[in-house]
Amino acid sequence: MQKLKIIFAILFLFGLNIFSSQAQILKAKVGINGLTCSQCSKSVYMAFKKLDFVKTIDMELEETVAQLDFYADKPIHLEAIKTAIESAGFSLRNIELTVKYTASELTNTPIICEGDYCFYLDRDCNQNGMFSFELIGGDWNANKKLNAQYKDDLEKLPTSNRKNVLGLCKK
Amino acid sequence: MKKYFLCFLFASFAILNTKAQELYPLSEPASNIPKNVLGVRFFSETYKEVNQCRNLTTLRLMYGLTPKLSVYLTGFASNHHGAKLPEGFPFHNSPERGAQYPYKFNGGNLYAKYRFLTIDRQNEHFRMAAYGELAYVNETHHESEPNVNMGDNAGAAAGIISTYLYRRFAASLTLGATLPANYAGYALDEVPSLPDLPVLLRYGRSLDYRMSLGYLIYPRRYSSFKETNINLYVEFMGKKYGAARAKIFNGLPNAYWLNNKQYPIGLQAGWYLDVAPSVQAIFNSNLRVDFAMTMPFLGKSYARMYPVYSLAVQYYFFL
Repeated sequence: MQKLKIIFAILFLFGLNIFSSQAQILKAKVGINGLTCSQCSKSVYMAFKKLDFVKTIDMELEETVAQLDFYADKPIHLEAIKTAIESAGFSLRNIELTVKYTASELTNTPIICEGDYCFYLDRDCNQNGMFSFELIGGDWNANKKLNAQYKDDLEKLPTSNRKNVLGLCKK
Repeated sequence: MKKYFLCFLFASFAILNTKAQELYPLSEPASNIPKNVLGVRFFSETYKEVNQCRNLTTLRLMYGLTPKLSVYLTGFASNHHGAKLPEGFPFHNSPERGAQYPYKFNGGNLYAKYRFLTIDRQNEHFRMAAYGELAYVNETHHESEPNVNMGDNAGAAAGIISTYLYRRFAASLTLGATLPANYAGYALDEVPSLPDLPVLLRYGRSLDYRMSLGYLIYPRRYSSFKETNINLYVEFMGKKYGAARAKIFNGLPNAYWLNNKQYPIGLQAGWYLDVAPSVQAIFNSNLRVDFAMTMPFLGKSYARMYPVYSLAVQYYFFL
């Protein structure tokens, strides 16, 4: 009976991972709309500083872009980035993520996951274990078409991940 | 002269290859204080009146309650107001130019601004906000023009601010109304041996209008938060207000309203538009120092004398 429990536990863990391989979001290039001055930009910088998963912040004032590097061992919350920008009084334009993964993670599914987020990948993305992903306007529901296309794969994800599938990588 | 000034102004915006700014020294933009940020603003306004300087100093605490709602609490101190209205008021000695008044605390103002429309794009935005303010002041104010945000009157004000920015050009328009409260106090009797006259003074209600423009002249390209920013602004500010009315022997059986057609011009209905060019330096993307000079452009205000020099220092604490 004890052996059966162990086998079921192993199968359960394997079952979670086989369809949602783990990856790591390394950094994000965040476009911010509405910024017009260095004081405004500093307000956004100070809001990013409060995010515990953000390691370094580099504000590019001319392009109204922030480069964020993340801690490897802390869960990343993309919604928190959007909320931080809005709390400073501005709007999220887009987020371009750099995600690291191992090629073997793609053997069973075109979906890889990191924390609360999963990404659809195709062959073009499979380069050196890195890809960039662009989320336009912070619209978490922008990828309904892809969700329909990959419905079968999506069904295999743990329920908690299904709402966070973000879409294809940027080619 | 005014035509040349306007031509110069708009040519400056067309020629200078800069980004726009909306951190106006004398007017509020539609944007808000960031959430959980405490701003502290010291403001001082001075003008020469006959043989002395009148000064108003305010200290304002600003807080971002939410990303869209900011609240300000302001305290006023000045040498603008005497303990009593002058003798012969309202027919004579109003405005009472050159009178010596003590420097004292005048009261406070609570202001709230809610941004209800936000259209943000890269290097472009359009925002609209509604504001409302309440002031508690109990001072002798000798002119009909009401000012609830400068320590002259108790009362309320509300309005709409629209701020538009597109690439190198930013403009903000404010349209509002002020409802001043009545002042009940005393005027000196022209016969010194007689007791003071109880007076109730009803100030004019006003329509308030402003247009503010601004641009950054340094740096030409942003490279660091530590760079000092220099901004230039020009603001047009004015009011259209009704006539004041005074009731003497207020509270007594023989109280009556005085015919305001005989009042001096400062207590009559009027309107004006001032122009205020200003320069602003922002250090370390936070410490802001503003210097402005206000002059009459069309008509004039009787509540102050020109030119009015303003100095402000502002700092944000990120909580």
